[in-house]
Amino acid sequence: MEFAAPLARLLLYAGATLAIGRAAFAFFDTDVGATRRAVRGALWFGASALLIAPVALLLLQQQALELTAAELPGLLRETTWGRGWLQLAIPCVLSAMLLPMRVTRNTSLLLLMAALGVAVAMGGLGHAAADEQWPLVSRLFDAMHVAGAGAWIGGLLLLVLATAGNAKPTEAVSEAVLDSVSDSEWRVFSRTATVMAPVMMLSGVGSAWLRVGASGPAEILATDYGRLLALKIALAVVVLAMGATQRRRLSVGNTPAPKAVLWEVVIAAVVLVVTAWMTGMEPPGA
Amino acid sequence: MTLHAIRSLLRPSLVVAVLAAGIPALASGADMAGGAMPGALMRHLKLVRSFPAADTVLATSPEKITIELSEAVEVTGAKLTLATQGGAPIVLGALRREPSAPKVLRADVSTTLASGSYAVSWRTMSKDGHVVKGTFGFRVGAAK
Repeated sequence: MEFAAPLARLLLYAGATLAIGRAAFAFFDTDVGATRRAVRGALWFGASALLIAPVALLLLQQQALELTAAELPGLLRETTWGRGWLQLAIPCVLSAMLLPMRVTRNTSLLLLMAALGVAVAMGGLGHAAADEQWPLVSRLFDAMHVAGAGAWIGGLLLLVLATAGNAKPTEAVSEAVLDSVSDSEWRVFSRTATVMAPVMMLSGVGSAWLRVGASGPAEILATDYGRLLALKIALAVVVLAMGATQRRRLSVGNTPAPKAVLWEVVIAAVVLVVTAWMTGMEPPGA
Repeated sequence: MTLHAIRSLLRPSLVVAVLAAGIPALASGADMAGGAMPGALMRHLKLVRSFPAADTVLATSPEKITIELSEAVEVTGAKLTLATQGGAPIVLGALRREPSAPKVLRADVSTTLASGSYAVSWRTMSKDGHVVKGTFGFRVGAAK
């Protein structure tokens, strides 16, 4: 059961990332790879994750507190965590319903609102909920961090899957296949990522400062939380550098380098795993 | 990564940096002017004090068990149990939180405890959902 809570959080992050990534594309009237099998599969996975993860988190909390089913309404009504869970569950269900649907003017706006609702609500179940000093700042940083990560990494993942859907089994993802995603889709993504990647990095730095700012480097690195935070920052900087390089390629008329794009997604996925474990730990000095 | 790529990112990054730092700063208003170090109040829930205090000796049986925590207590899911040194449970009254003292959990001891050692176990949930628990002991009667 030690892995159950981080896995449930990872599922939530994966679903939120896909929902926000698709919402960001849909916002610009671009339904990237909607007919591709790999993209459809990812969207259904994201929808399932957004339904399963909140239920799993609730059941794990019920188990940790040894509550009966009859006591669950009390948990949801009377506790800060329970109210935060309700605030999360509603946009998660909405996003899950909208995520696999075809993008139209109405669904794209609703998906964007629901996905941003997930981003805002996620802070209610994490460390930000316990911040008595700057609660609003803490929640805002968390929301911006999730929205930034979703628009950047979720969008990139959808583009990669759209290209993979075109690939023959032996072809892997070649440069020619990457060309099958239109230039305008890459440009939409590039513009979004140029804004959202710094949002993600800066809000992440802000969140980290709020959590560990009172501790010295040695104290931070003496804890599991601090070590995972350092690893997350290092990996995020690598992903940012890779993204900046691809942006440069796009700006001079080339397509992104296939292997580098794949590695960018893979390293970003590792960052999500690290975050899922880290958020269950105590920050230094707690 | 080329120097040009870094330069091309610099301007949009600066705009976003101002927004990313400015929006939360505006939202926090006077809070940000407080000057306290970040993280100073973002602490996981902890036991501050208890009655009986840990490892103390009481001359007579206590009428209540109280624990004071570092943040307002969520009564739902909270637990306070009392047991003898041998592990036999002792029935306590209903767990409650006084409106005037939201950080304090209290349960009445409805029976008179015989001389001996006792263990109190507690569990509650912090606002961010972390389940926090602990145990402490005390003694009734003459010190050993």
